[in-house]
Amino acid sequence: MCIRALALIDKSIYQAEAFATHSNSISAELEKGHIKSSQSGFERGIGIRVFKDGSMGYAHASLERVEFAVEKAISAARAGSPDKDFKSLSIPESYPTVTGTWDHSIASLDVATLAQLAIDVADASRIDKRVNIINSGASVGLWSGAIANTLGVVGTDSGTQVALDVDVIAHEGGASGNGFEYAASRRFDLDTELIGLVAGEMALGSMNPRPIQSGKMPVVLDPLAVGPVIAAAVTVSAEDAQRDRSFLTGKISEQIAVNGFTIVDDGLLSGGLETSPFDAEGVPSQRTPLVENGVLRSYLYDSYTANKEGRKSTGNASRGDFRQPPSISPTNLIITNGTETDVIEEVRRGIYVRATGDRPNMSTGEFSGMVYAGYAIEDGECKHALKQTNIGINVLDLLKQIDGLSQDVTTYFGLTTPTIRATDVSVASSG
Amino acid sequence: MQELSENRADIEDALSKARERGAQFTDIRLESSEDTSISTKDGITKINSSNELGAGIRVFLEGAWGFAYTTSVDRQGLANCAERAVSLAKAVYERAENFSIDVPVFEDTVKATVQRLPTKVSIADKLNYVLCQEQEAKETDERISSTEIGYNDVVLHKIIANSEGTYIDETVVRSIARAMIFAKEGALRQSGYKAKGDSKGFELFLDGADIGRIAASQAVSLLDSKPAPSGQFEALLDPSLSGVFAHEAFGHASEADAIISGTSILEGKLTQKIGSDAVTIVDDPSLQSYGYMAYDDEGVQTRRKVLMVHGILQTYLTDVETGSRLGLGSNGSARAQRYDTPPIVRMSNTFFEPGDYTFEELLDGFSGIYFVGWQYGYTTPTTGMLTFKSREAYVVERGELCNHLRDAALSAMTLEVLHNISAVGQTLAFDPGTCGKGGQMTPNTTGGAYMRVSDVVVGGM
Repeated sequence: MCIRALALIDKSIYQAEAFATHSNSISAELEKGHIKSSQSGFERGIGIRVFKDGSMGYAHASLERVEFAVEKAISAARAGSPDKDFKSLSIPESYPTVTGTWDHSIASLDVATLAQLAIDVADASRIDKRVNIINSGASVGLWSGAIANTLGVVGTDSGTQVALDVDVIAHEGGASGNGFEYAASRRFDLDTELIGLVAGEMALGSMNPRPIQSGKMPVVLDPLAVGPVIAAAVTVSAEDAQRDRSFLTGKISEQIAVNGFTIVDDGLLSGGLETSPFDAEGVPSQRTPLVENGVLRSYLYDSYTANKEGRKSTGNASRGDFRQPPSISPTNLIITNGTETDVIEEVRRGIYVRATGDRPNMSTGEFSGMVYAGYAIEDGECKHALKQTNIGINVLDLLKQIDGLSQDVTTYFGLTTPTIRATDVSVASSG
Repeated sequence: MQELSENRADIEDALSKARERGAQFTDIRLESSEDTSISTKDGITKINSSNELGAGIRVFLEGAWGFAYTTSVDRQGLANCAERAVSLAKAVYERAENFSIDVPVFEDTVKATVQRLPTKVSIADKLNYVLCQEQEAKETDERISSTEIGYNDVVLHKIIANSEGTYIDETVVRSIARAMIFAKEGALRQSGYKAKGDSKGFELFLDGADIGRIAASQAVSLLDSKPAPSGQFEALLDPSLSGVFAHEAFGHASEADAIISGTSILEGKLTQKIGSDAVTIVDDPSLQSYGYMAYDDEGVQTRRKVLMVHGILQTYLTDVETGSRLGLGSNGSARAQRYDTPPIVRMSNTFFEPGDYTFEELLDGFSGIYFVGWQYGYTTPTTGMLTFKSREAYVVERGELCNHLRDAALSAMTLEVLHNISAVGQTLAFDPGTCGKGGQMTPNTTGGAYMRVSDVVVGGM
């Protein structure tokens, strides 16, 4: 289909790329322990990107209307402004083999099995009479995709994914606490017992939240909180660096974090949620150290930003689906684990951040945000849930104040990370 | 654009197929849309121009919903999709909690009343607007280091039909432009943001909508700012922050699906006083603004809903299911992102009604933090913990603006903070935005006036 689309385009005038996907998904959702809905999706679409003198035009359509999308993309490319920095789309290269991205047993799951999975995870979260289910859900998706461009790139890939989520509430007297957990895998191997248990324990531990005394103190970041606070800050797109928008612009080869901090972008990770042989432009996936022993090593590149610097793309072009043109984004991120079996035990007075919905200001590196779920630590133990508590620190200071990384790691949304402790973070609470 | 009005017989056919297969209730949303997105970053343009055509079909059976969608919208495609939705509902309904639904029936055709239909405006004209905004941003100050303007328009034609007889043929037009501008001085970088969006056509941009210059000025002015302090403060919110406050602090908790699932702090609080006398909050999808719709995505006519009057909770936002289960009826609050997602309870244009105070009166004698320009916000409905962040803020001492601040985060508890709103200004202003819930994004408007709030926690550095 991609080749057929490109055949409609005059290669002497345009460079063009076609990306087609075919996806199937089913899901089941529970509300208060009862089945509420089931869904099924089936979609085949194509996205066409056309360049004329560097001016990009994009259009998408369902597979029945490829000619239409080609025509739209060409007229969009003709309408835009030329860009002398655009050198070329990606060129043909051989692709690495990836493993663990397809599971036949997922392909054969039906909606009744998924409903049962959602029920199982809900049941597992009811670890105590005080815990009630808000909702839970299970979904599976399988897709196959193909990419081709007018320079001869051709690639195909396919994958499976299963995901579970559960949201619970605990009540006792007038008190209540919220707990949740998510998990996703390329294989049918999710542990419903463990997922339910984490949510149930979190709900019980979140009852009776209280503020604490404000001040500077150690902060322990749960793997779920490491993503928005640390990983988001150090995965800088080359586009932002080249446009001088990032606080990490010009800091390549500088020591930006403690020696023990290493983060790698790995598009080849076996079984990784973001693993594929090639990126959204058909560039081979690779393993790219971003921060190595505290030293900033690389930004994330697509072919445009790489060509601009005369270097190789890191294979970080990405897209949600065929509706969007590629943009730069991380693949699987891995933060190297440490040696501590308990990162809380040495903390006399501090906080544990389970989740925050905030993100750093990528221009300044400043992070200030609410502790969406978290606990006060006293004498090495999580004592009570936090109410109305905010944290604030510049990520460049935070990275140099990391003094503990756990031995065990957890994966959330493509980031595999230990629990991380930092020494001196400003905490504001209503207490 | 595909002409949908010819599909009525195919839609009726799919509805009757579903009924024959055992559906108690079926609805179909058939959508055809045409949209253009243009972005420019430092003069480099990207243009995305696309069409969508598809249908989503929902089947209800004894308390369970089955949902399926398709891009094949001919008679056979719709019938197959309806049958898939029936199979899904049948596969799970025995494990559902049985309830019945009351579906109001409407039949209407609603045309968009815009002056410049985006599909009749050339890409060159749209691009010219974007490039002009970028040029104006660059010319604002020599410290402007990077510019980004985004433009998006959509013409969305939908048919919403159901097995009870509803047949709505509605066309919605929306346009929005956003400017994100960066300034740099020495090693310090700052950014500014401004958006303009409405349920209008290209005429929206013909009245000197200078978003580029406004965002650029904000970025430059922040170059002398300090990070916000942390601690407990009195707050003065500008209208954009008041709007996010109405949406986050209250709006999400008033969505009836949260009441049913037991995740809202507003459960059981109808007719109770939960805010100060100064607080009146409205959600109005019928208002011509970015979140406008004449009929919701279940084909129910929308109307202005006064959710809270002088601090007393009046009603929740309901769709067909939650309205039936709570005995309130649907008040037209069902929205779906696109044909491939099922409708859920959502806000539209949500705002505080204005009060009596002038800005000068609100500032007079005030000491605390004055928040300017919203960035984003979020909430946990279960506990009522909320937070939102402003781009700018000022330390105010006895009515005098002192230190200029950036990225001030405010957090509070809904049921406490609604009582702490002590004074509301006279002039109502709206901002366009995008709200995410259950993985679905919808266009929304938030609005309010200047507002004084006591005892909030400010998170700074």
